[in-house]
Amino acid sequence: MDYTSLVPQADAISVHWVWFEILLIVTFVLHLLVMNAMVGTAVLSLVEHVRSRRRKTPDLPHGPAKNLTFLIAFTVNLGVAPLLFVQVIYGHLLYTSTVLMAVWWLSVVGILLVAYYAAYLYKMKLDRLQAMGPWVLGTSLVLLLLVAFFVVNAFSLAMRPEKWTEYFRSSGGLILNLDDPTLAPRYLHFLLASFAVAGLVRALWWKLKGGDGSKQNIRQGLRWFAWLSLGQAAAGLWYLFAQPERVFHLFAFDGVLQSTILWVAVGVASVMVVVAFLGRFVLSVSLFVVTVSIMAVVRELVRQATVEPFFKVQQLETIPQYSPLIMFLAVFVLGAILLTVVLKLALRPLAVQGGKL
Amino acid sequence: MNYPIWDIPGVGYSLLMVVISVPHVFAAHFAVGAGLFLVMAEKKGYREKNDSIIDYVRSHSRFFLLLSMVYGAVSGVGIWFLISLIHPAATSALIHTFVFGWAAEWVFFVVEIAALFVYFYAFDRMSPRNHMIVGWIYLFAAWMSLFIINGIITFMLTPGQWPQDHSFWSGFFNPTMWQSLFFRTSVAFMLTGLFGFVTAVRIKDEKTRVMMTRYCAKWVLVPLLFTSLAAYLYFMAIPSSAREMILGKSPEMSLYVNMFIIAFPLILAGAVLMMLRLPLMLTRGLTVILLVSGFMYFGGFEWMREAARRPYVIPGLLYSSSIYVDQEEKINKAGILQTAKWVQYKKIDSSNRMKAGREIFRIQCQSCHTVGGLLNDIVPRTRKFSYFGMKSMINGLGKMNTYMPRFMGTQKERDALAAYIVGELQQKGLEEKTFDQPKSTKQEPADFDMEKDDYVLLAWNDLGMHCVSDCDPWFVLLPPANTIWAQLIKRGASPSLVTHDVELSYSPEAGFEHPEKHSRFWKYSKQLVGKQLQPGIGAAGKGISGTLEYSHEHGAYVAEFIPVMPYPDSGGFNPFPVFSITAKDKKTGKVLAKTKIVIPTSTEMSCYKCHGGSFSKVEGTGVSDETAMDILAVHDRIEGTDLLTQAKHGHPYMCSACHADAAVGSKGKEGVLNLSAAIHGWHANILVGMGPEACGNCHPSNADASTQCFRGRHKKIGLNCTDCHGALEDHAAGLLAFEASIGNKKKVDRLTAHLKTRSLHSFKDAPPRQPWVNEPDCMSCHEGYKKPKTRRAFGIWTKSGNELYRNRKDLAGLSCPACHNSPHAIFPTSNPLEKNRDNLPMLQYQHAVGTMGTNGRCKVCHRVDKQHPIHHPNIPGKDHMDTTE
Repeated sequence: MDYTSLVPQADAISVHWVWFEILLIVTFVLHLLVMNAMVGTAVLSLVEHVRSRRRKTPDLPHGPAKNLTFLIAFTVNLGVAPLLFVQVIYGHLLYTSTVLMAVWWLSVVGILLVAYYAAYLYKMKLDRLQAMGPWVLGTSLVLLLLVAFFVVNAFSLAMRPEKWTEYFRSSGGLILNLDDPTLAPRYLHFLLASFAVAGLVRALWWKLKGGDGSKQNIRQGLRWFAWLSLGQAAAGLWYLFAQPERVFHLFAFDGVLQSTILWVAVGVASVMVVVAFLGRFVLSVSLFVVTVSIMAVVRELVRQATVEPFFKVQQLETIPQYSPLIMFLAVFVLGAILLTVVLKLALRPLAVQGGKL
Repeated sequence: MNYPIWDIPGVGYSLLMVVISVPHVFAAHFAVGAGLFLVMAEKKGYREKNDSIIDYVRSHSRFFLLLSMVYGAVSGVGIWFLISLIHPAATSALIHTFVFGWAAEWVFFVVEIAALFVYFYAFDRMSPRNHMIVGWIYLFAAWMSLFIINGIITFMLTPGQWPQDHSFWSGFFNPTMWQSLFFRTSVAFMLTGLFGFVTAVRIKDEKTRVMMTRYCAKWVLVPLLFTSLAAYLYFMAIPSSAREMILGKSPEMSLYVNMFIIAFPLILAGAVLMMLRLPLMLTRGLTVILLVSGFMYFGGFEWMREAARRPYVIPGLLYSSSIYVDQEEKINKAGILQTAKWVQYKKIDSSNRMKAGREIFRIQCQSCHTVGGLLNDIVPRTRKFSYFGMKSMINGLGKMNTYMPRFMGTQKERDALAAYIVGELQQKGLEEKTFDQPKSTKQEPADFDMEKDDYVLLAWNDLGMHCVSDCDPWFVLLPPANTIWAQLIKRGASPSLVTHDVELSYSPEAGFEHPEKHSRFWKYSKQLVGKQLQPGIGAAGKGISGTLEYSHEHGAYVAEFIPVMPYPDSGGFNPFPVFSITAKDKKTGKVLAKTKIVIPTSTEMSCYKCHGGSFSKVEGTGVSDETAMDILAVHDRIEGTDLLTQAKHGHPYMCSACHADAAVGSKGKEGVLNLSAAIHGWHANILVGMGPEACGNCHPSNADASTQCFRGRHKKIGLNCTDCHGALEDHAAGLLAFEASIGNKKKVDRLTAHLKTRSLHSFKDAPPRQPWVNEPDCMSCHEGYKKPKTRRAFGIWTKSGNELYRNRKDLAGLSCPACHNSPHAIFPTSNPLEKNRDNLPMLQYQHAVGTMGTNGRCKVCHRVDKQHPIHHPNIPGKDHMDTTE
């Protein structure tokens, strides 16, 4: 069967596709940053909790975990926007892949709910949980990572129509993209990034907390971040080599735009690792944000290159209608103002004491 | 069709939607209303300087945070995930049309989250004023989310101008947008009152608990009243088709409507009770009841709204099967398998028919139907159908009842789908049932002495094809009622019709003397015809044997509505019993003449093919109780009647009680289609694209069935029903055109909306026809009584009842059927029981089976040969058929 015949017809878009690419990348970067912070916080909290139990420290340093629920809330929220914009451009591919793995895809909702409530349980009832505490937090973390695994499956399967023919043998929504050579390095790449950010969260926590041992803990956090970033780089290299040959060549050497951006990102990331080893917190965080942003562009270019044989974003039909975009931008400004007002009203007391629960 | 389809056996998309979306909208609307509730309650606490109220607000905001922020937010994403799985095409359309609407909603979602976190976590660390400002900001952001989503949701029911201009704004500010917003806002505030009880009844201090419970009750009651006004405005703003769907046209709707209607007084009463000082346990119990009622109320509404969209997901764009509206024509021409992307079998052959049928089912049915699942299970819904019935049902989908989309595809694909449902899902054979052939005893012609006898007695049944529905406890289409006509001719050089001083009588052959033993008609005669008839006596007072009365109007003797049943006492089925007609001198009692004629009556109606059950007799006749009950159930569902219930309580009706039917002299009810128009009009949308076999499903005309009533000369020369009556669709079009001309346009429009005429260009070209009055005119083919040049009589109708073949007379006053026999059994006939059964009178008088006087046999009446056409032109002419026995 000619699998390209399965590729659905894409719907027309209302403004130039570049708008959606920009919105997708910007919102995706925000989602990535908060998501990394979320997983990093969960990892750090779990590690700290287990370590403190072993040391029999009376006061558990589970402070960062208090923020986990906020981070989950904003990760979900900031995931909505890129998921929206990616559906405008790649919806016909993504809908297809999610139907093929419908059971897993839909299970994301339930898994996320359990992970979310587990985080609240850990946060609100830690004293009562006692020995169960790490298990509850660990469950939340594992479930969040499982969500990520399914999301990676969905997005990678969306780019592999040759795999789609499996539908005719299995139409019950149980297909996973496990035989995709890019799946493991891609997931590992993400996983290590989040684990690396746990080091940044640790450094941030001690930077805000101050006091005895803060300097040492900040350095340890940054070192953690640096080492895991090196691991992440290795995974990234694996990810690059796992790409289809055409895509690999494009990013390794052939494609001027693609290879330039990739190697710029690699360069920035290298500097970031060095800076982290040197214990420069603010610079490390800044370079981390820059790296993630450039890598998000690389990721989008990889996607474009991968689907190029059967879909080009440039060929999307446009039926121009710009007034809704203007409305959105106006709402965006209004939202920013409201957020500023809310945060201004709240920032001082929150900064001083933190939440009650 | 553009996307793969997720197979979830046993669950079904509808159930998933119920499980995920209804609880979400419940929580999400609470999330909107609670914004105002919290701020107002907080204000009340500060105004009254009551710390316990502030404590309550704090506690309630925690509950609110955990419900709306976690469950509400994630389940909202869940709905998005789910609709993209079950309706990817629709989801894509919504995303692409309203992407910046969704994006704006996301912005407000961010503000909501931030504001709610601040409101809850900084409760005690902000000044009351600033804290309440944050609350107001939350409310604004939450309500704006509702505002945006409401515009998109209402678009899915009433897209307004969007299908024409594809403008974001046309779609968003659609015809029901404001009404729905009013309703949803009211519901949001009502729900927040309901949820307020959850925390209010847990307040330990009794005084505060009672106060806050009452406070919440007010929050329920006031918005509840607004919801009823908003619901009315909303209901009136939706299209009439959607209103009809809600009012019962859609079979799945009643549950949701009932939920909605029942929940309202429950909430009202519960909230009023909450205003009283009740024991704690009772208030807690009431809280649960109120929440469940609120769930029913809002869930019922949401599902009414969903179901009212049928047969679309997005009207004007997508059917609920995810097929684009503008692709219907293409699919009907090229086929669904050729058009769809995600199918394995592009062409159907005998080896893959079931699998192809499965794929077609997946594309066209699975978005709403499960196989063996909890909701909309296709298996029980199609159990009654034979293969033929299933094909027919598929033909009719979405035409008169528009809650389902029409089937789209070729006839071969339709057959494959039907084969899959009947053969694989129902595990039934695809062949039609076979039945025993009827039997009869051989009949000899009556005596006639050409030299000595002075009289010729000619008799006939007014209809050559006649059916009795034979399901009297349920309904009666036609009761046992045959009408015999006769003319007595005094032979001579100038024969004359005898009109007085004679008595004509009729009697059946042995075994047919007791129709009451074979029909339940008499048990229900009072309900059916308005009077209790003596067993064996027909509606006009005639028994199975009796006398004929002279009709001056017709110049012939007649016995009306003789109750003949096709079941002899000895068992079996005989649709052609022979009756003896005898003419006697009234004064002397001397027998002047005798003859024998067939009185056709059948119960062969194959309703079971579509309505379930079976024939009631092994010979392939009779409407079984199961079949009849289903017919009534379908009628009740479609027309909103309660005929089945009434029949179960012993009150069946004749169809003509409501539907005008000239055959039994009924004028019917005003505004109701006449019986012929209603039945043919309905079934013409179902039995489509067929030839005479369509007619044979209800009339006993089919050549391979038990009765084979169409048995005369016309059959022998190869004509069939459609040559005179038109194909079913054209036939129905004529009947409906007449109804439209007398003001029943709305009813007619429903039946003609998707009626595809065959030989007519369109319904507008249909020649109007009043049943039993405007029938095919013999003269349209037999112009000038000559040999016909055409074989098509359809569309040229008799102008009045007097012009009907059976009422027509020749120049000498003889009725046409006297010499030619009943319609559909024109001499010479070939009766399926025994070849010459109908020809008995002709054999009696002229030893030939052709028309009376065939091939110059004028002396049967005239005693001498004649050369001039006395009766009508072209007599005598050499009959073009061999009629010599």
